[in-house]
This record gives sequence, C-alpha cells and structure tokens, in this order.
Amino acid sequence: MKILKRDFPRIVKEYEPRIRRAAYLLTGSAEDAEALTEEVFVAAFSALGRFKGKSSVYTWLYGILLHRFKKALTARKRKLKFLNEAALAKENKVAPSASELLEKKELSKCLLEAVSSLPEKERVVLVSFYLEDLSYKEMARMLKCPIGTIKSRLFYAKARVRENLKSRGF
Amino acid sequence: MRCICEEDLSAYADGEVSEEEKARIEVHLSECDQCRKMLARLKRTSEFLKAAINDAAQEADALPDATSRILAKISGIRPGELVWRRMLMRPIALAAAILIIISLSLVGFFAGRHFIFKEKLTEVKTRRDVEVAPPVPSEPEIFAGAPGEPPVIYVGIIDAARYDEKAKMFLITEFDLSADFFEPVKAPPEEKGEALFFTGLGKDRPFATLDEIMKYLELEEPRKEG
Repeated sequence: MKILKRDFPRIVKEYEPRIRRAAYLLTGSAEDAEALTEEVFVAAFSALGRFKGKSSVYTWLYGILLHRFKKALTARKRKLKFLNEAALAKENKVAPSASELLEKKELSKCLLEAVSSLPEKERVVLVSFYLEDLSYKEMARMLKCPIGTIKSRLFYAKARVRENLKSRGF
Repeated sequence: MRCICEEDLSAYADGEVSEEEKARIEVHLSECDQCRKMLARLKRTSEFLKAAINDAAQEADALPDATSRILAKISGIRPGELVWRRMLMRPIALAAAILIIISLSLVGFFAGRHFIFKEKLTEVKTRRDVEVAPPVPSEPEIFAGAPGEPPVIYVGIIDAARYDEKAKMFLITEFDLSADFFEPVKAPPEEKGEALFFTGLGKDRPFATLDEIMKYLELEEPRKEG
C-alpha cells in the first residue's frame, strides 16, 4: 500500500496528536515537541514514495520521529533547539480544580524531567514501551539492535526514573 | 538455589520472556520469597510508570494542533522535492554522492565486469533520488546483521564512502538512514534504482562486496568482458 499525496492531509490529521505526544515525552518540552512533530510530517511528505506499506503508517511515522529525534540530539550536541518558524506554543493555563490534579501535574512535570535526564537510547525504549506499547521484539527490529540490548536499556531506564522520582518524594 | 537476576525478572514482569525462560523463572519464584517480593516491586514500578507516562503524554494534547501549520508548509512542494533542494544546499555532500557514483562505475569498468547494479546507480543519478543528509557520526553497528543470518539490505543515504582496494569493498564512512530506515528491505526495491542500498553482513563486515549484493538480490551474474 502506498500513500498518495492527496491522502497526506488526512494522515497528518489522524496521526499528528499521537506523534505530538511521543515527541513531547522524548523532548520533554512543548516547544521542541511542536517543532519535532512538524519536522516529522514534512520529512514524511518528502519521503512519501519510500513508504511501501510494510509497516503501519503510524509505525513508519514513529520511526521517522525517532530518527529525527536522534539526529537532532546528535547534530546539536544533545541540546534540542529546533528552528521553529511557527508561533511558539502558549501553555494552556487551566486552573487545577482539585489537589489530586495538582499532584498529577507535579508528577508529570517530574516524570518528564526524569525521562529527559535519561540517555537518549534509554529514553527511546522507555517511551516506545510504555507509550507506544511496542514489544521488545518490535523495538529491537525498529532500533536495529538485539533484544538483549533492549531488555537491558529498558531495565536501566526504569530503574533510573524510579530512583529519580523517589528522590523527589514520589 | 540461584536467584533470578533483576533484569530477567523485569523482562518477566513485562511479559517479555520466552516460554522456556518463563517456566524456569516460575519454578524459582515458587521457591523464593525474596524474588517474589522483587517481582512485586518491579510490577508496581512498571504499572506506575505506564500510568505516569501516559498521563504526562496527555499534556501534549493541550498544545496547539500542528496540522494546519504542517499542511501550509508542504503545500506547493512535491514529495521528494525537499530532498533534492536540501542536496543542492550542500555542495560537499552533493560532490561526495557524485564521487561515489563515479567511483562505483569506474570500479565496475576496471574490474572488467558488467553489472546491473551499475545501471541501477545510473538511474539513481538521473532520477535524482539520492538523498544527502547532514553528516552524522558513523555507527556501523546499526548495519551489522546478526552473524550467520542472511544479509539485510537497507535503503540508506550515503554521505561519504570510499572503495577499499584491498578489501574490495565499499566502506561507507558517513551515512544516514532513509526515512523508513527501520524497515529493512529484504528484497530488491520494487522500482528500479529508487535509492542506493548497501548491506550488513555482521559486525566484522559491515558492508558487503558488490558481488555479494548482486548475488543476494539475484541480479545478473557478473560476466567478464572480452
């Protein structure tokens, strides 16, 4: 199955929120997530002919996301600063209505920081496993490394995040 | 009685061990209180992380939808055009790509061989499908197939390469993977000459010889000229 140019707007509409979520977790920043999301779809569009339907459209896009994320980290010496031509995101200022919500927000903030402090390779497996529900096998195939490596990276990622959150009182 | 290592137990908690491994772990768990406790802790961590990560990801829903921005950005450009434009912007990389194509042809000529691969590369050149991306550090292990397994052909983007006379092998010194890099192409591309491709044959030999590539792709056997 190939993707036709005319189908692309539908694909953007359908998958943009999911890619944005994953980008947000990977980069740990709203600005970078937006810029990265945009980059993913522009890259996908420019490589439409290469999609041969051997994986799902989302898997393809997610692969591009991981690739772009890695490139950004490498190229910018692990400092994510994308050139974002679009207007920067304005954080939604929704007042928390309950203390539970506040706590949740605080946890999310700390979690993002903990995830962002992980080495890139561990961050990718953590997000792929917990957010994208990819199996070890799928990750190994996507990241081109042995399953044992995935197992080890994920184990250390979990342990580091757990310790990080624990030290912050969670 | 040897305890299960935490890493294995963690994979077990994720439901990611083989049947054989699972049986071994379960036998041990039935006898070891310490490991059962560790498993319970690992499971709690996993459940907690799953919920927390998904909650955190939902915050991204509050960010503005990028659809209209993306569509505005790509309107007026044809698929593939960006690639070519980017290539033109990088004269060094463009020169490297041309050099590779020329050297591939020259090597083919001097080796006295006629091969389809060369033709494919010519098509690539004329189709302007060679993407040249900004250089990234080489990580040959990415291309290394498991020893003993059939070679995996990746569609890739070559930034720089040299032909090693001694090894009779193309060594790609800088490369990038194509957008669908995670999808190893195990068969010849459907469309001829759609991209350059190269192959990994194991950690010791990240890149194969042309003969090997051709043999794998079941291309026409090289024949001696004259």
